[in-house]
Amino acid sequence: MITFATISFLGLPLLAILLLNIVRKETGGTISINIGFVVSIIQMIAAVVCLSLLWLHGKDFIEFSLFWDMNATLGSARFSVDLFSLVVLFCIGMVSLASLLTAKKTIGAKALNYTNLLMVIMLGMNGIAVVTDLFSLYVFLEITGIASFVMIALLHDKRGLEGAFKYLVMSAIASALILGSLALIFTQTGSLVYGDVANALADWRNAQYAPLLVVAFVAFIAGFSIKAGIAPFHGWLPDAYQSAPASVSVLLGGIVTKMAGVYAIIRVLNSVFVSMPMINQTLLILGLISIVFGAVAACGQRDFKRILAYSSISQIGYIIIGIASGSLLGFVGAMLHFFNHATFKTTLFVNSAAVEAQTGTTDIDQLGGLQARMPVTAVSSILAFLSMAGIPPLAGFWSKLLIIIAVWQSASVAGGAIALAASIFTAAYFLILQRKVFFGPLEDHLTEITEAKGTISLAAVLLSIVTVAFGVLFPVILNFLHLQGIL
Amino acid sequence: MSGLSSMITSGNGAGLIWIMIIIPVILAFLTLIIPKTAYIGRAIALLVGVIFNFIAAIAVFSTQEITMLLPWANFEMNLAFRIYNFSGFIVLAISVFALLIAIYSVAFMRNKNESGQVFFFYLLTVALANGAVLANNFVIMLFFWEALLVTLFGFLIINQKKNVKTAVKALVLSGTADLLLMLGIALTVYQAGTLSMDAIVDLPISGIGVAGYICLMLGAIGKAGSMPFHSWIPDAANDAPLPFMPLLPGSMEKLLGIYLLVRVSYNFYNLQPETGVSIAVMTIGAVTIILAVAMALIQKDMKRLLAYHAISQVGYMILGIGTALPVGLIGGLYHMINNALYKSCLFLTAGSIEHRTGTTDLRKIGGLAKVMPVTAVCFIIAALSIAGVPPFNGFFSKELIFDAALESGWIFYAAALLGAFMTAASFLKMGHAAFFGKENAPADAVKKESPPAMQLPMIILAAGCIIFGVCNFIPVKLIFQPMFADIVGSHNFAGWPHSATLVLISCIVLLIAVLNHIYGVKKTGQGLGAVDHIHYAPVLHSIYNGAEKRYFDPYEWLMIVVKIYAYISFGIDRAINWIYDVLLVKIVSFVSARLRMANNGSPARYMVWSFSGVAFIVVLFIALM
Amino acid sequence: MQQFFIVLCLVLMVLAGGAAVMFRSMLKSSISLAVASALLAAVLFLMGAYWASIFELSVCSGLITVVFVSAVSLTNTDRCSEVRVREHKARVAVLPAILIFAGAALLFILFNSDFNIVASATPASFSAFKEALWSLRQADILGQIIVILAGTFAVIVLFKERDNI
Repeated sequence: MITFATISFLGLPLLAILLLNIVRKETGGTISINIGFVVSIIQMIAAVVCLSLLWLHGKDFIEFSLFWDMNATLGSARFSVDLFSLVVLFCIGMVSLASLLTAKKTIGAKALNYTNLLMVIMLGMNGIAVVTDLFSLYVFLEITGIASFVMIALLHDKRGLEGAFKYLVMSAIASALILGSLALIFTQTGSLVYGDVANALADWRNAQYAPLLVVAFVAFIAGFSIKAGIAPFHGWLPDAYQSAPASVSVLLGGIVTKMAGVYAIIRVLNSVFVSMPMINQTLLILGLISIVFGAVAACGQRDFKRILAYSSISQIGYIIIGIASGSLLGFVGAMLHFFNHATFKTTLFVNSAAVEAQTGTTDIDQLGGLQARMPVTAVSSILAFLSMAGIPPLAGFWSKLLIIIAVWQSASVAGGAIALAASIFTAAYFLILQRKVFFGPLEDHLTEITEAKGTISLAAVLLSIVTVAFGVLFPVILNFLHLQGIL
Repeated sequence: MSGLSSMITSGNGAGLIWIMIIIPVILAFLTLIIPKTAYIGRAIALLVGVIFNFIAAIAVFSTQEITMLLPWANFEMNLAFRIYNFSGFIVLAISVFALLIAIYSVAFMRNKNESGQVFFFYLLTVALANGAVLANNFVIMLFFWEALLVTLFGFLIINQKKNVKTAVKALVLSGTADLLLMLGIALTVYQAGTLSMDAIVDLPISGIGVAGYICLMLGAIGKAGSMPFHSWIPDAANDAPLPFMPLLPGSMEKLLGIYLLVRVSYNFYNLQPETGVSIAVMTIGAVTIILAVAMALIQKDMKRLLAYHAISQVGYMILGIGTALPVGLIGGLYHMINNALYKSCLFLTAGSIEHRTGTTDLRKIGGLAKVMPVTAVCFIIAALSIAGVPPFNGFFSKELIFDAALESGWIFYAAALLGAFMTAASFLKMGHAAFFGKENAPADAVKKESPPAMQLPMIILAAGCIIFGVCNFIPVKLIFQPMFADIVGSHNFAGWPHSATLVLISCIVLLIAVLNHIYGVKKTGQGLGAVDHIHYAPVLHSIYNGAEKRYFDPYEWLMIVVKIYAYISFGIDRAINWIYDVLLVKIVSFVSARLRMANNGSPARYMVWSFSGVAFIVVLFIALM
Repeated sequence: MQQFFIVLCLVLMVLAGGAAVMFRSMLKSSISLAVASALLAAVLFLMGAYWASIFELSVCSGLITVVFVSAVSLTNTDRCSEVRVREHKARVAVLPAILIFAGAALLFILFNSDFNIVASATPASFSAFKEALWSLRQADILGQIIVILAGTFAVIVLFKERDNI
């Protein structure tokens, strides 16, 4: 059971790629999307199964390998899943499912390529979630990166290529920074396995760090900040999100940048750079800049997807300050906000895909009054935005609350206050978007618009249910945290 | 995991509580989903819901005591419920009325557009009322209690898509009462140090306790519809769908409000006779009796008239319970259940007339006893009950309250007697005008008895009035006295009233009412004008005029205060608004437009940003080292 | 000697990075980026992180850049908007600042550090190194396979399917 579940995270997408390329290309479209559905649903189930096994056995993590013996004498690579990576793996499955549901109606003839790349990107992200070695982390980061460049350019149009190219250039810089940092860390500590590096760094704890190590830290933060799109490293992000095909935006905005950047930062801060106030402080400041910058910039945008992109920058800031607070509460808050962000941002990108598919544009000045024509899309986007703005009792409220409390407690009252105040801007751009797109009188040229086709609406509905249900049931989690003494 | 494992239940059948809350909610949503054309489906959903509820309520009533605790969130906000004899009885009573009125509504709402919404709110109200009664934690109770406000609002806007004045009025008045309740809960919890309702016992009414008790008491009587939270009820009588009146102001709100009042006065706090607080409660009761019944006297519409009586009868219950005497408590509770029986029966007869004639305006109808004999008989039984004629149930409960009132002060007894006189007079008038005299009905009226599904609930309720009167040992000795055994002690209030003098005085009052009626009819020549000589008496006339123009409506006073406050706030608001609306928006839009321009799609620029970001991190590191 | 090469490569890398910022054409700037990452690979190699350098060379400066640069040149998307021309001057002003800053940082580090790998991690001989490499790096090998897979799909998407250009 457990073997199946854990191996499925990396084995299943590989198997799926094989299967996908066996089917004949002419008929492969729908079949390939259906194979994708199966893979993503199994991934979600596997994550839940592992989570319950973890719970039942009272373990903190499960280690596993793929086709080698992980207990070989000299030591060998091993993967590991813990609570956080399982939550994240579940998110990957969920967002991939939403992306596939969107793609089914929008991707057309590119279905086979799309699914192939989706499997690769899932491999990459799952890899990021389960590795226990900094270099392997980097390798899977690259896989995710490559697949996403190609996916952005999937339609092979000029806009997509340009977006992909910008992402590529910035990613190349990020890779160089990360790799350089890894090399320096390796020369100073002699290993790249999470635990070993953490132990080696612990010996430095009371001494001054070597200058090279400090350089490594700087490069490390900068590299992952580019990948995560934290301001001021965010430049590529709005362009890439905007130019990607609808279903790819769902994937990128929902999970990919979060895996490549945010998850890696959280993972490394949690298991490698343990309690290093310097790094925490830096990330706290960067996170706060991101929160304010993203929210303010989102207010001035004129494109549905760009608003969402900037709001991603802002929300990522929240996750980062949560982890940067350095407390367990902050970590829990960051983890939950990660999950919530995956849910509501995916909902919103699915909504933007619905609007794009039905009206042919995402320019908010050309839209208006769609609420009457596309009620499912309008309602789910309102729910998602309310969750994002932190309105109780929706899911986003609780995770934001935990994060702000954690930041507050970490003796950074100003930080907590800024994060709280920036919520107002979240509400502001939410209202701008809703007013321009869904509320108000129906624009004349939009009278023929109908609700988005089946699977897109289905995705929006499912994700909205998750947002509401998670929010309403959250007090149970809160109670659990309380019993564990975290809160 | 630990949340689930620490669910504590004592006794079997805690699932009953869930059944009573969740099943009606599910069926409520079902009624919304079922299309209008499948009316039978909606009706079945409603009936299944109330029947299930009734069966579960019987099970609840027959179990001993169950407490259920499901830790839900921090700060002691547990999902806690408790079934014991009192809450079990209230739940049973609610379910009986819900069942009977539902049968009636199914027949009444046929072919009406709004049936889906009515049934939806109907079932939701039942579920929420069950939750409010069974809750054993103040936060949970408050949740259900406040949610009832939503269904109340929902019921009232069904018929008023455009003009929601009545609904808003109800929301404001009941909302004020609920706000007081919330404040009272806060004060009580502060004093007791726990949110668990069964852990709060006999707090003294002194110091902060006075404020806590008064707020809770006002919240409770506000739900019951007493003055000064009453003025939406007569308006609702005209505007709401018919099932609303017998269900909410007729029975359920009384049950809930009085249930809470009794718990507040005898469980949470320890109300003592002849204290200032007790006299205050009794005064509210007495004033409510007299003013509401005086307004009822002059109404020309059946539903409006009954609505004023619904308010007036609460006065008796509050008066009885406010005496803090055992006889008053039992009398108040007995009157509560009696009132629910005859008042919902009366509303149903009014509905029956509306169903056939299309109106309840007494000027347009008359002599209906011949065409609608069953309705007429049920009306007469219920009217005799409410007027307090022996041996119907209203007589016995009123006698108990008279007894308690006289013991507490002759002025309260006098007020109660005056109320009894006017009640009798107004029902003589209404009965005479509607069912006797010259036959009269609008042209489009269907002149035959209502369908059996509407007759059955009326008959059952009327039979209930007789049974609870003749066999008054059932409610008094078998139900209420054991519930409050520690307060009542060895007293027995069942059977014929102890004091022959009081019975004699009551009978004289009834006789005066009859004589007054005969005098009025002689004078004006018609049943409807039987009380015109009171209506148009010199001083009373101008007071009545003012009342009809709503000069004495607390809601209108509140609205004037609100208006003045609004004008003052408006000026301040403009100034602040300018800062937010103009200045801040300008700054933000300026900055954000700059930022939009800055992100121009040039990768080289992004690289520059990133390099400056690296520089920034280095500076931070140096600063932090 | 090794120290010298490392410094040289780093300086060249900074220059190449600066050039990437300076160039107007997407093509040229991406090529200079590729050069920069190739130089980084060299630095890594000199410092003893062989597998990292190989990976960097094969993935960053190799596969992806080549694929994309070809795609860009083939589809003629090189002409970016006119804004870039106007912007050029602004960039010229920023560049010296970056170069001076980067140079200062580099010098500061170079005078204060020691590029040798800590003794414990240095493999005794090449064969031991090889053994360590392959026994510890299964995950990365798997990764490499997937990278190649992704590259294949990139080629398919960007070159084979020319239907809607």
